[in-house]
Amino acid sequence: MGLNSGVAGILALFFAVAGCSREDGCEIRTAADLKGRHVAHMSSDFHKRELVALQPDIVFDPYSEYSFAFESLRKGKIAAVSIGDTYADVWTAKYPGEFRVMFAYADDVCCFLLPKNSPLKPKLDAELRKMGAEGTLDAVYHKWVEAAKAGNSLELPRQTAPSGAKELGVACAAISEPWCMVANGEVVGIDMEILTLAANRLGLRLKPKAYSWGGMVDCVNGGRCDVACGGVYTAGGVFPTVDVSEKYADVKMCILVRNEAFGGGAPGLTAFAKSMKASFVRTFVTEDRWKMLADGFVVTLLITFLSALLGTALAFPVWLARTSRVRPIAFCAKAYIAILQGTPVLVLLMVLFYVVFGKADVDALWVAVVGFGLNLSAYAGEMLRSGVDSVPRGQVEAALALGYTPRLAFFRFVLPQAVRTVLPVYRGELIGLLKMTSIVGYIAIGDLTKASDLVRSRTYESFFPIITTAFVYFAASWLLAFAFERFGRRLDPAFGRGRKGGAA
Amino acid sequence: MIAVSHLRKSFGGVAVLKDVNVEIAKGEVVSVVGPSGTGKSTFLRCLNRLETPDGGSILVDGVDVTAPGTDLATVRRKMGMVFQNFNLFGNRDVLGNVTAAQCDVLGVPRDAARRKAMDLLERVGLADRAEALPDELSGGQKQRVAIARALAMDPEILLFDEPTSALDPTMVGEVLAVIKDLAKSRMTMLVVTHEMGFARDVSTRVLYMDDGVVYEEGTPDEIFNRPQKPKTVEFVGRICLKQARDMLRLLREGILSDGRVDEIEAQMLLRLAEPFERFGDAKMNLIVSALRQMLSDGVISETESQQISAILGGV
Ligand SMILES: Nc1ncnc2c1ncn2[C@@H]1O[C@H](COP(=O)(O)OP(=O)(O)OP(=O)(O)O)[C@@H](O)[C@H]1O
Ligand SMILES: [Mg+2]
Repeated sequence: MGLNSGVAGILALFFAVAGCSREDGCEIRTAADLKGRHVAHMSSDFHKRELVALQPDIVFDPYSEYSFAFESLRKGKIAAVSIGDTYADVWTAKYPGEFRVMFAYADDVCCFLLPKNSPLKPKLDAELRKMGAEGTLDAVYHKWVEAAKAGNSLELPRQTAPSGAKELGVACAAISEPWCMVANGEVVGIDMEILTLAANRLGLRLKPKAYSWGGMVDCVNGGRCDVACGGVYTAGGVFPTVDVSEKYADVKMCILVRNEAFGGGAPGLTAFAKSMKASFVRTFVTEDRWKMLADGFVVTLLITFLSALLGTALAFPVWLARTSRVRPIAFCAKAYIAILQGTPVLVLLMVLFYVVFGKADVDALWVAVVGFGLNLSAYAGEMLRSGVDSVPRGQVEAALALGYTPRLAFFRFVLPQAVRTVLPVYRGELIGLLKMTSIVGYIAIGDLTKASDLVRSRTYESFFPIITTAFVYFAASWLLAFAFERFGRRLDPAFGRGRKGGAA
Repeated sequence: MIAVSHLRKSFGGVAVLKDVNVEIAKGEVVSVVGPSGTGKSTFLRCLNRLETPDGGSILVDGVDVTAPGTDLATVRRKMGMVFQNFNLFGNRDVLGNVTAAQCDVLGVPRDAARRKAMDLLERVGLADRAEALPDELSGGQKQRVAIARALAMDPEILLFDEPTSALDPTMVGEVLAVIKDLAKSRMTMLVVTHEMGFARDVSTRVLYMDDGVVYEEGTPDEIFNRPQKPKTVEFVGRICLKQARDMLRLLREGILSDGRVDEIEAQMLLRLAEPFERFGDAKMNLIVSALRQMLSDGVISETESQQISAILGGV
């Protein structure tokens, strides 16, 4: 999840900066050397049983993303990573001399996931078997692994099915290079090429969407996609609720450690600056990744803005219903508010995404807008109520006595004062909303946090993506606060008479 | 101009107004007095339909405003109302409070509304505070703005609901002065008040309300000096006592703590002392005549003021 990975990333960053290397200075040669040491593993593909058989006293650290495990290993926070040989190959090639594969300890296979009883499964399996026999699968695998080792990406083969053809919805955990990742704004990788070839033969049109790992799993569980992928190792049997396709690759689980002999190049400031520069280039310049981050930011702003609009507009009906004299209406409003305030937005988003709009082909962005909008409406409705209650009733009577209609009195005198009262709280709520949108990556929306996740999954470095993301969120919040400051001053009746503040 | 007959109003089974019958002619200043909770406010609020009467009729210029389908806005426009708690609009400055209804309800152009508002603020002595916010004004100033706000609609009658009850004693005078000024210009007014001196000086008629009816009515002299019915007698006596107590409280709380009486203090004391004159209390008469003397001289010398203080201190 975006938020969790963000937090994990910041923690990783903290350890990196603080140089806290509690696993430093020990040469690991055999499984016995792992006794009492920290070994990172991905919660998804993990062969604990085999590893424990080798060394019962390992301390297992679950990681949500490869890039964080990579970073931790590099910084000496952990002694080893339990990982597929594909990744191990790519990492050791990309950072020559830094890592070494200690041993392989289990076999696994890579497969696609499908919803239970999918009619697609036999067809896909047949194609995979055919491609396996032809040697296509091996060729594809090696092609992408070599590209990843060289730090490149490749083009996918063209889709041959006509644009009106039946679609094949693919949920991708696009954070697992070289299996599945985002390059130049497109989901690519081994999985995607194999699926494209299969789809071409089946006359289907591939429609991939980039999810986080958990989002991908939910998606296939909820039947929201036809097939899911992302370098999923299935032999561990951790996916009992979905169907698993034929394998398209064999992998070996292995233990990767730091190469203690590796000096890390010439030490000193120049080397540091050089590595920072390289990291900067990887994060922002290569494949125009800054564009992905910028697009993500636009999406974050868009969701924030639209759901703020929706939530604020809905605040009025919520408030009207909540203060209605008709008991059942007031009760429903009360329940609505209690439910929305008492449920995490992520749960609300999932309910909307998988249940309410489960069958409808609604863009996830709108689902997010509706989710956050509904959530905000509950809070904003209550804010409006407390704001209106804070305006003395006598002012309304005075207005009525002057011949105002109740409606006009409300808009002229009550609402402005109510808004002014609740503005600071409302501002806080909107800033909260802005930051809260970081969870939308879960339902395949490429917001800022998600973009940062995707970039990190390619560079294996968290420093720039996380610093940038943090800064952008901070700057946006600050701008929002500033805008409100301005607006709040305008609402101040003392505005524009060359005097500061209210009471003199 | 206004004829109220058999007006009834109850709240949750409690009959607050039982049978109110009143006629008010143009140019009259009618004070309404009576114990707390006898429906004086309710009566006023029924007149401009802030409350809906249960029965009876209210004829304004011959039109029954209790009839179903009556345009409330029109009724209310004819009757200005001034509340105990001022109820100024918190999001408008003084000028905005006085112009708002002119623009929003009457459709007067902004400039004309401003000119009129400034005239009215001049009249209540607040032209220089036109840009102040309600929060920046004293209670007396707020109430004067509220009066200007009501006047801006050119009402046929002004309803005052205890306009000075929420005020600090030092500010009562300035508000009453404005109301007196209105009375002089023959404004029709209905004033619920506990200020007996004011009721006596200004009103053409006093209504004593009790038990949900107009229990006794008459000229100020009749009600205050020669009340006929038992409840009225008791009420007037109680009022006198209360004013005596207020006076003592004022003394104790140190209006005179500086050891001297200035003009405002002298006027306040006089107002409070007024009801006692007719009891013929010697000490009180002494104070009153000394205060009068002092004010008529136009100057308050140090010795005079200390003399008064000495007498007052002995009360
Ligand atoms: N909206 C209301 N709902 C219920 N009861 C009310 C309402 N308004 C007034 N009352 C009751 O009606 C009675 C008369 O109230 P009202 O305010 O008219 O008295 P009043 O003569 O103005 O008293 P005071 O001198 O204290 O202002 C009181 O007992 C009060 O509790
Ligand atoms: Mg009252």
